[in-house]
Amino acid sequence: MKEVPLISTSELSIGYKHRNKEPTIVSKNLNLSLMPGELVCLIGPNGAGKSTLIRTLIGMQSCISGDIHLAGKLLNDFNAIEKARVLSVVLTSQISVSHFKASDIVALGRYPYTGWSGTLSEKDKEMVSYSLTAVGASELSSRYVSELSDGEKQKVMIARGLAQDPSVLVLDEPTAFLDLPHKIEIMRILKSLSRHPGRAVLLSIHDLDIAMRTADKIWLFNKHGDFYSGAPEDLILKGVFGSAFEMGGVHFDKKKGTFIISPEKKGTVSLIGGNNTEFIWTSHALERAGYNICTDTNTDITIEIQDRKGDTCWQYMDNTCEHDFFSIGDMIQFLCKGHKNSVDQQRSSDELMYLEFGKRTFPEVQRTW
Amino acid sequence: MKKTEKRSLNKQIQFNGLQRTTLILFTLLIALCLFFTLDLVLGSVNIPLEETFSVLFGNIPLNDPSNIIIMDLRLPRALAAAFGGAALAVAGLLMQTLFRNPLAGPFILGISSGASLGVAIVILLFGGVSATTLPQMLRAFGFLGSATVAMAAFIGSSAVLMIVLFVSRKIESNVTILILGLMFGYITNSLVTILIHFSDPEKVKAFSEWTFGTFDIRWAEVSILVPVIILALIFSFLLTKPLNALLLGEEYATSMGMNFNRTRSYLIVITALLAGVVTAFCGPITFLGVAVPHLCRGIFVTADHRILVPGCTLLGASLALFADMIAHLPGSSLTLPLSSVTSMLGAPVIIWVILYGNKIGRGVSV
Repeated sequence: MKEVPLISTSELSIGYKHRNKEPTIVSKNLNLSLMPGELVCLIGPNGAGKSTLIRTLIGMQSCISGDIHLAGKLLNDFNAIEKARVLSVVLTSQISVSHFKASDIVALGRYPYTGWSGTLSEKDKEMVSYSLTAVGASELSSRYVSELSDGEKQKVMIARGLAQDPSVLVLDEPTAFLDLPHKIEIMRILKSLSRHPGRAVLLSIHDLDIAMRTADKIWLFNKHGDFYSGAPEDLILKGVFGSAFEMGGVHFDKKKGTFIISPEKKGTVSLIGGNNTEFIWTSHALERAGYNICTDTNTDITIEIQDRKGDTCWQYMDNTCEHDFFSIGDMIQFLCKGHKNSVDQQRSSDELMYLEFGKRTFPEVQRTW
Repeated sequence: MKKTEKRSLNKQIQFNGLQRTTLILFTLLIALCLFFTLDLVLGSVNIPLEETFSVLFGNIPLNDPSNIIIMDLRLPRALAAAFGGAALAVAGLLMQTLFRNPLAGPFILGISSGASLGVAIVILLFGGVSATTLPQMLRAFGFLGSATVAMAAFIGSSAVLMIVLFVSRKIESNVTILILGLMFGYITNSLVTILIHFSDPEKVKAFSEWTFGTFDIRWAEVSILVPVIILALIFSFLLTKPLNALLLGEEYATSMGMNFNRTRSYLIVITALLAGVVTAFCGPITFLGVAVPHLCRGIFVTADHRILVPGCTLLGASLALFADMIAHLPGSSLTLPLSSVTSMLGAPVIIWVILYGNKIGRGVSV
C-alpha cells in the first residue's frame, strides 16, 4: 500500500497578491510532499520565503497558483472545522493572555471537537492531559500563563496544537525566543511527536545546526527562492547549504556541518604537546584568532602545551622571544597585539594606550621619529 | 499509582476552582438582589422594607403614594439600572476581547459618540419644541418616540463600530485602532457640538440631560430596553466558545476552526445592541463598560468567558444599582449626574485592583 502524503503541492507558486499590480512571487514550481512519520525542518536565510510557504500551506495566505493537498484532499475543499482536525499550527507570535491557566490554553485546542459552549467531555479532558504529558508540561497545567517562561509557554502552545489531535503539526519558528538547551528540548519533543503513527511535523527554524541534527528531511530555500529538499546529509554533500547562506565573511564547513566566520588570515602556528582536549580547544582558539594549525615545526610561531606541576602552561616561541602563559585567553590576547617584543609587554598599559593614540592621530609625526 | 494520585489531585483543584466560582457567582447574585431592593427602598422618601414588598406583591391600593413612587418611578429605574449595567459590562467585555485591548469599551471606541450623534439628530433636529426635558419629549412622541430615539442611537452606534471594524481589518496594531476610535469619537462629537450650537436652548437642555446619563426612565422605555438586553445577553453567552478562542488572537482562533468574520459580525451587532440601547435611553454612562470586565477577571481569576459573561452581567448590574442609589442621594431630593457617580466610585476601585490585586489579577490585561 502506498502511503498518502499528508501535505503535497503541485506546481505551487507562493507570494503576495497586490490589488492592481502583478503578484510578487517569492518562489515557484514547488512540488513538495510531507510524509507521515517525518520531521521536516524548513530553513533558509531571512526573507527567502519560509514564513510565506508556511502561511500558504496552512491556508492563512492564498497561493498564487498551483494546488495544495492536505491528506489527499484539496486544501480549499476543507471547511474550517475539518481542517482544524487535520492540521494544527503554532505561530511565532507570542500570546499575551493572563488570567488563563496552561490547561485552559490547551483545552482551547479541543475547539473543533466541542459543542457550542466549549464544555470538555471526558475524552477531551483525557486528550488535554495527554497533550500536556506528551510535551513534558503536565506539571504546568494549573499554572497561569503569565507566570510561565518563554520555553514553558512554547511547550504549552505545542500541547495546545497537539490537543487538536492533528495529522500535521506545523510550527513557525518554535525555537525563536529560546536559549540553546530549551531549543534542543523543544526539538526533542517535536521529534517524539512526529513518531506518532500517521503524524508529521513541519517547522521552520533559523538554527541550521539544530535542524541538521534533528530533521528527517530538510526543506531549504536559498536567497533566490530556489527550493531543495532532502536528508540533511545529502544536502551537505550536494553543497547547497553553502550557496543558500553564504555571504561575505561566512562560509560553510562541509566537514563540520556548520557555518564558520572567516577571520582574516594571520599566519600558521605549529601546535605541539598537551592532551587531546587541551589540543582541540587551543586549536579552536587559534583558528578563531585567524591562525592555521599544523603539527610540523617549520613555522615562525610555535606553541607548546606543557604540564608544569599540574598547571597547564602554553609556551609561545618565535624567532625573537619566548613567553609562558597560563590561560588560552592571555595567549590569544598576546597574539592579537601582533606579538610585540617583551619590552612592550612590560610597559604600563597607560603608556601603550598613549602609543596607540599617537600612532593613530599623528602618523606623520611617528614617521619622522 | 503516582499517576492516579496526581489525577485525583488535579480533580480536587478543578473542583475547588469550580466551587469558588460558584460561590462568587452566588455572592454576586445576593448582592444584586440586595442592591435592587435597596434601590427601591431608598430615595428622597424612604419607604420601609415591608411596605415595599407589600407594594410589589400588590397588597397596597394603587392610588397610595408609596405605590405610585415604587411602581411608576423606582421599579422601572431599578430595572433600567440592573439591565443597563449588565449590558454595558458585557459590551465592554466583548470589545476588550475582540480588540484584545484592555482599554477598549463601548465609550472609548466611539460607539457612545455615534449613539449620541444619532440621538442629537433626533432630539435637536426633529424634537418637539414644547417638550423641555427628555422624558417629557419621549412621552410627547409616545411609544413611537422612544423607538425612534432608540433606533437613532442604535444606528449611530453601529455605524461608528462598523467603520472602526472595517478599518481595523487593514491594521494590525491595536493602539492604532484605539486612536482611530478616538478620532471617530472626536468627529461625531464635533458634529454634535455643531448641532447644539444651532439649536434652541430647550432642546439643548433636553439633550444635555441625556448626556449626563440617568436610569430614570419610564415603563415604555423599559419595555424596549429589557427584552433587547436579555436577547443580546443570551447571544453573548452563546458566543463564549469563540470568545475564548479569540483570546489567542485572530490567527489562532481561525486555525482552530473559528469563522472569524462571522464571529466578528455577531460581536459587533451584539455590542451595538447592548451599548446602543442603553445609551439611547439612559445616556452615555461612562466607566462601567471598561471597568467591570477587569474587576471580574480579578475577582474570578480567569479569562474564561463562560464565567466572565455571567460574572459581568451580575457585577455590572449590582454596581449600576449601587451607583444609581448614590446618585439619588437617599434622604434628599437632589440627584447627581449618573456618569459622574459611576466614574467617581469606579475609578478608585480599578486603581486598587491594579495596584493591590493578587499576583495573577495584578495589572490590567485582556
